[in-house]
Amino acid sequence: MFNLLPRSTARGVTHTFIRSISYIKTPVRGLKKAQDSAMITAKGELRPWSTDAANLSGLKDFLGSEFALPDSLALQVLTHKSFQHGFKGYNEKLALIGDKLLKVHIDSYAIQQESTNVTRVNQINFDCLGSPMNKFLSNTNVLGEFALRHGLTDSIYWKCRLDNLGQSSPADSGLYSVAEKTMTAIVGAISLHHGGAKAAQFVNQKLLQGEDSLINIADEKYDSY
Amino acid sequence: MLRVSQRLVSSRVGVSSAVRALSTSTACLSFKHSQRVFNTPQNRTDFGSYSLNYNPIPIPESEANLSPALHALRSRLQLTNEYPLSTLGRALTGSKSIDGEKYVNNAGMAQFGKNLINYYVTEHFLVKYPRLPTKVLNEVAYAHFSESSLSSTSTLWGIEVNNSTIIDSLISAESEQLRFGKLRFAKQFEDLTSQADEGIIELTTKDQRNRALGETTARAQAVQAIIAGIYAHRGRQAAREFIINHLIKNKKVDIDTLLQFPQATRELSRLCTREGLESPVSRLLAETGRNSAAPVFIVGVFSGNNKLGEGQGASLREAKTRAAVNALKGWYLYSPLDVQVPSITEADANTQFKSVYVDKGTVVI
Amino acid sequence: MSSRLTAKTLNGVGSFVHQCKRVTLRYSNWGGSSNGMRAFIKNNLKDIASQNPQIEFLVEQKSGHPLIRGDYVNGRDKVVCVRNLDPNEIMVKFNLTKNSSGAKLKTNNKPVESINESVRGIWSPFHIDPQFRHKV
Repeated sequence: MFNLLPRSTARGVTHTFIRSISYIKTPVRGLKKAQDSAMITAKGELRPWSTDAANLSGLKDFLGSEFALPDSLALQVLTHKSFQHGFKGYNEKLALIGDKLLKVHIDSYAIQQESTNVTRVNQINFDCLGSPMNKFLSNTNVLGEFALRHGLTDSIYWKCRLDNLGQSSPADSGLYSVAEKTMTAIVGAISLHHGGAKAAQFVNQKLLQGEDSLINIADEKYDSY
Repeated sequence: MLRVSQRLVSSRVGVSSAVRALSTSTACLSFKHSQRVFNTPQNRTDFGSYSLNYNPIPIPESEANLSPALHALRSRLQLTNEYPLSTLGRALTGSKSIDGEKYVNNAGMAQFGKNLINYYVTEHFLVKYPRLPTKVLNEVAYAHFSESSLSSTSTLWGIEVNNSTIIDSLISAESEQLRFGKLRFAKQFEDLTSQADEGIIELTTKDQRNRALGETTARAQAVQAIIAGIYAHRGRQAAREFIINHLIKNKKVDIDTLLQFPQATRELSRLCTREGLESPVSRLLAETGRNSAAPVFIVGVFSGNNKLGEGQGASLREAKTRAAVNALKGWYLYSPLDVQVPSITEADANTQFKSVYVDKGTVVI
Repeated sequence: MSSRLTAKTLNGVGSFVHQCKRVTLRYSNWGGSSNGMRAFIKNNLKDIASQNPQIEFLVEQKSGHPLIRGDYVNGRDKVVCVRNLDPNEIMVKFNLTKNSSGAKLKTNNKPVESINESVRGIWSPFHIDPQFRHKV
C-alpha cells in the first residue's frame, strides 16, 4: 500500500514521501452485504461462528458440568457486539446484568471477611468498601487478565481495535475490555439460566478462589496500575 | 525501503500505546485517590483488617435510643427491632458531615446498598422486558435508582436534613441525640464554601470545602445505607424484599415513551432479516379524504401473511412510519408471563428455577 | 442530568409509608383554654404514643391557646387550634391530624383519577366491519 520514495537533499536529510491509496466505498442503495459468519483470528485464520465443539470447548471446560450452559447461550456469551456489526446474538445485556451481580458478590465477599474493626455492623465490616483494592477487583484489566489466564480469550468472537497494525497489547487492542464483557456475561448467563444461588456459587468458587483468582491477579497487578 | 516502512509502522504503534498509557494512568488516579481515607493492612486483600484512618467510633446504641426521630423512622419503614437505632443513625451520617469526623459515616454502607439496588432493579426490568434495547433498559433502571429518584424516596420516608450549622449547634448547645434523627452532611452553601470578608480569618481549609456534598446525593446515600443496614441485620432476602417494595413496585415509568426510532422502517427490515422472517411490506388498509385538507390513512406492515403492526397518519409516509414503529414496539416491549427473577433462588438454593428468556440484543443499523 | 427521567413514586403501591411524621402538642401551663390539653397530655399521651410509633411526638409549652400541629412527608404542616376542648374532642382532632396526608384539601369531581392509561384503548372508525362504516 505504501509507495516510498527516499530522496537525498543537499544537507543530507532524507525526506520520505508517502502516497497511500485508499478505496472509497460509497454506500449503494438496496445493496445487501453478505453476512459471512466467520471471524478472522490474530493468526489470520477463519473461525466460523457456530456451536461446534471446538469453538465452545474453552468455555465449557471452564464452566464444568455444574455450571454448564446450553450451546446457543454459550455462543452468545462469547459473541461481542463488535462481531459482524451486532448481527448475531451478542452478549451486551448479559454483561450488563452480570457486571452488577459481580459487583454485589465481590463486595459481599469483602465485607464478610472476619474483622475486629470497632465500626463493623453486626460483624460486617463496611469500611473496606471504596478502598482502592476493593475497586480494583472488578477493574477491566483484572477481569481481562483473568479471562486471558483461563484461556477464554481465544474463543471470543469480536473485532480487534487495531487488527490492521498486527501485534498490539491486550489493553491496546481492546481485548481486555471485550474479555471483561465476556466474564461478566458468563456470570449474567449463569444467573439467568440457573438462578441467583448458582451464580453466587459460581462467583465464589470459580472467580474468587484458586491460584489465578481475581483476588490474586488484582494483588499482583495492583502496583503496575 | 522495507526497513523504512517497518520503522514507520512501529513508530505509529509506539505513539498509540503512549496515548493509551496516558489514558490508563489517569484512570488509575481515579481509583487510587481514595487511598488516604483508609488504614490499609499489610496484606492488601485482607478486607477484614481495613478501617478508616481517622478512627471514628460508632454511635452508641444508648445515645441513639434517646432520639425520638430515629424511633419514628424505624417504625415508619417497618424495619423491626432487629435493626438497631445506632445503625440507622449511622446511615443518616453523610460521608462528609461534621459528625462524620467523630462518628463513622455511611460511605461504605451506601456503596454496598447502591450495588444491591442497582442489581435488583436492573434484574427486574431485564426479566420483565427481555428485549428492551440496552440504552432504554439502562434509562428505565436509572429512573429508579438515580440519585434524584432515591432522594424523592427519602423525602417520602420523612427523612429531614439537619439545617443547623456548626456554629448554631455550638451556640444553642443542642443535644447530639436530637441531631441523630436527621440527615447530617456538609452542605455546599453555608457550612464550607462561605466567602471570607476582608479582615476575617478563614478557619475552614480548602480541603474541607471540597468535601461539600449536594443534598440530593446525601439523601440518596442515606437510602442506600439504610438498605445496607437491612442486609447486615436481617439478611439479603429482607433487603431484596425491601428494595422490591419500596423502590420498584411503587415507582412508575412509561417505558413506551422512551423508545425512539430514527429509522423505523430500516430497523424493522433489519430485524426481519435477522430473525429469518420475510421482508416487511407496507399495505394501505383504509383511507379517507385523500383530496381533503385532513386525510387519514391506515397502513399495516406485513411480513408474508403476518401483520406486524399498524399505524395511522395524515400522509402515506407518516402512516407507514407509524406502522413500523408500532411493529418495533411490539417486538421490543414483549413481556413474558409467569417469569421468575433469578434472585428468587437466593433464599433457598433448592428452589426449582425456570430459565428466563435471553434476547439476542438490540438491532444495530 | 436533570433532563434524565425520574420514576414517579406512588405511596401505597407495594409499600405504604405513613405520611404524618411529627405531631406537636402545644399547651400553656396556666391558661384556662389549655385545661383539656393538659389533661390529654397527662392521661392519654403515653398510650397514643405507644400505639403510633411511626409518629414523633413533641410536647411544647408556650403561653396562648393550645394547638395540635402535624408535619407531613410532603413538607407541609397542618395546625388545629384546640382551645377549650375537652380530651375526647382533642382526641378527634388528633386523629384528624394523624390520618391526613398533608395535601391541600380539594374536591374530587372525577370518580377515578389515574396515571395509567385506559386498558380499553380509543375507539377507531376504521376498525369496524366495512358494512357498518359511515358512508359519506
